[in-house]
Amino acid sequence: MATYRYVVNDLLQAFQQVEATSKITQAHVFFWVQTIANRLRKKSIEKNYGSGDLLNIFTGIPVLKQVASTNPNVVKGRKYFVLPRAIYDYRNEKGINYVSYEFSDDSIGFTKIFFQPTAPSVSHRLYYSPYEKPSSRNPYFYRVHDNIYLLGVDDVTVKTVEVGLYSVLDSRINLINIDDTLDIDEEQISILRYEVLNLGRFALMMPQDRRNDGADTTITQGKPTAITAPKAESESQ
Amino acid sequence: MDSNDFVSINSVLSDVLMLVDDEHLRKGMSKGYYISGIEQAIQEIALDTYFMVITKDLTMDKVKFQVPMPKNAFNIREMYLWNGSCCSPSSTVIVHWKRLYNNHNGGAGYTAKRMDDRSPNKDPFYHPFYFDKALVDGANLYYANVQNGIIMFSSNCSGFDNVRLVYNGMGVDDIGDEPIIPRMLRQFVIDYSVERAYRTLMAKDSRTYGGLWKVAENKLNDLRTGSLYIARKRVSSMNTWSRDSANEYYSKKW
Repeated sequence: MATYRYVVNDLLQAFQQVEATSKITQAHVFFWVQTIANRLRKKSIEKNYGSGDLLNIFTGIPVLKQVASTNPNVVKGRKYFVLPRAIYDYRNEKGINYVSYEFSDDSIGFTKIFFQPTAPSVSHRLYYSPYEKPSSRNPYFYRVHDNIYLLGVDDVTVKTVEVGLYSVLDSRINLINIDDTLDIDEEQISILRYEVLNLGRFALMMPQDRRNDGADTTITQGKPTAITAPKAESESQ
Repeated sequence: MDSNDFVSINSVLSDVLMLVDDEHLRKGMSKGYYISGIEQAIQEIALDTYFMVITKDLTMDKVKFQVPMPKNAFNIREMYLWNGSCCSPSSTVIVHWKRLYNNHNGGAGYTAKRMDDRSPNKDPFYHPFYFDKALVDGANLYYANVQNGIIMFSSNCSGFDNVRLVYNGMGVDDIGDEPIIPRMLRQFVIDYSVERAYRTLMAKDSRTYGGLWKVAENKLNDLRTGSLYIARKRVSSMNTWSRDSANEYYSKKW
């Protein structure tokens, strides 16, 4: 599996920007690699949704319940948990692959009861049908930014949940270890390389007049003024 | 229906979710929504074919002479009064249906166009002398009528503790994990649920799901090969035993 060190250094070599005074730094390439890798990962997940290839499981995520509301997004008395990582934004909360009770009884297993996705503005409809009504056996979750609210578990004790997330790669380059594995499929590295080279090429080919050097770039409109011929020195004498 | 082979809701659900490509329940429909569709499928085929025959014993209310019909019942087939314990009914009598009988507020008093005591005996059209006195006044005539789901009994039913109802059910009260779908109707229930799911999705995105809905609708409603047609045919073709006995009876009669 390729690490960041291989990929980033290879790209810097390809840019021929390996000197200390290079226009493109390692930090630039790191950032580009992360953004392109995120796009490739999102496409991979869409194509092969449900696969565990890019899934991250978090256990023991604490379920919270606040005694006072805080604007925005925290409502008192409602059970919720905070996403442990940023996730890809898909329709119907596909970025959250599953949320389940974490049972104290190991024999039951974590797959016993899953929360189903809903949304704040449509969750009221669930209460109209006895088959869909949220309950401890038929619970739901909905997302409000990074808070995931739980419906139907008000009458039971749920201290923690387990979640499976399709989480993004963190673009804060200061948090990346250069020897970490780049978490994309191996066959996508060539695509990533091509895309990052495109980004870098665009940056290197930025025309001089597109750079803000403070010079006046006003272009004179209309008929150019006639240039008078300089008087001959002999004439003035 | 002469069958004791049932499949569970979850078994049907596993097929339906695959056919709608919604194993992850991320198309905007919850598990409960699918189960509601399965329940509606059972209800529709029950109302169409009367396949679901249920027997239930109820306690006679000897003050009001009224008993509510059970939930899920839509067509009474037989009614009896009986005494004794639940496992050994004794002194059983038939309850007949009496047209326009009404004890709306409960109790022994009632209204009807044909009263037991031959009143109203001054009505110029409903003349009481058409009655066969021996039949109408017979102490062994027990009858009832149904209005708005309330079975109203004649007051002489007070001599009995229990009512046995045989009726057609229209599905199930409480869907759980237990098998309740007759195996012979399984394909209909699956196709009905799939068609409903695609119809729901079509409301959200007609371009993507319109074609799929049409395929599902055809699989359900085709007049020769649709699962609805096949299910109806299956139910109506059943009861070979009773039909054979009836044929034997009629053939001997003439």
